[in-house]
Amino acid sequence: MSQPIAPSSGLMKSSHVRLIDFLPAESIGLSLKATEKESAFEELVALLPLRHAERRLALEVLRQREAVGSTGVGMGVAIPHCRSTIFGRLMIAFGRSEEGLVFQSVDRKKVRLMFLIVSPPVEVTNLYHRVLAAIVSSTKDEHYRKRLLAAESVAEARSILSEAVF
Amino acid sequence: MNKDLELIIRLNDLELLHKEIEQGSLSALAEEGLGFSLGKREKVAKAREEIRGLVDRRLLSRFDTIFKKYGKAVAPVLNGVTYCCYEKLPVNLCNTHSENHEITTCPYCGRFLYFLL
Repeated sequence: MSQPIAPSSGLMKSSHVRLIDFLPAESIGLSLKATEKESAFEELVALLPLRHAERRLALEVLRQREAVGSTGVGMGVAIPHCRSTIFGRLMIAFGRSEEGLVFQSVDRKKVRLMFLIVSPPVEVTNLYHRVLAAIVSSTKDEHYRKRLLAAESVAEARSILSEAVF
Repeated sequence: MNKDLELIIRLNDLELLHKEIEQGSLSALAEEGLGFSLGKREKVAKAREEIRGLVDRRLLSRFDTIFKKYGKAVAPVLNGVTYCCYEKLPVNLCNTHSENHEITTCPYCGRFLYFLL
């Protein structure tokens, strides 16, 4: 469940923080069944270590953020993100869809790679935007995206995701 | 979770988002700089008004007073410590409210408390 706000894996001592330090194997889903945004959110939120009531609230907050503007950044990638008091620390979930889903992305392409980022409103380590920037930057690389799409196991996907540092 | 507390948390999150967008905070600028659109800001205002209409009037009045005073009206509690005043709460209070079934306020500043696991 929710952990202390400061990560406990010695991250604060390192100048580079890796994406996978916030992305355990249990938060990676390589075969999302969703075909549209709403059910994809539900699947992604289910990958996070949250209580039932927190999941419901997390979905509400995500919907609200999405209503302000789509988080589909194009190239088949979406990075839904939101902040709320219910999150004790920054958490990430990664989902991949084989078929692709309709997401109202800027380029109107179907989304196949999704990164969900949730965080407390005020976060002492201030990693929220750095994580967001790291994902945007990594996924701009076509080779990186192709490797993520081709990953055959969670371990392989995690290994590819571990290359994203910030 | 207590339904009123749920509404209070949603309202708090929306107020913070609304404030960020309206004031063009660094956070909002950072998001827009990364290519995320925050264009439909009136939707936040509309959702905020909808939730305000659902919250009990007395709670809403207390929410507004606290939000105005501190800039946020809800604080998380982790391992018995409030993340507003950073004070240790009595153990019996934490045990009783750990599932957030009731509305609890910080005995030091009055902010609504949300008990994290």
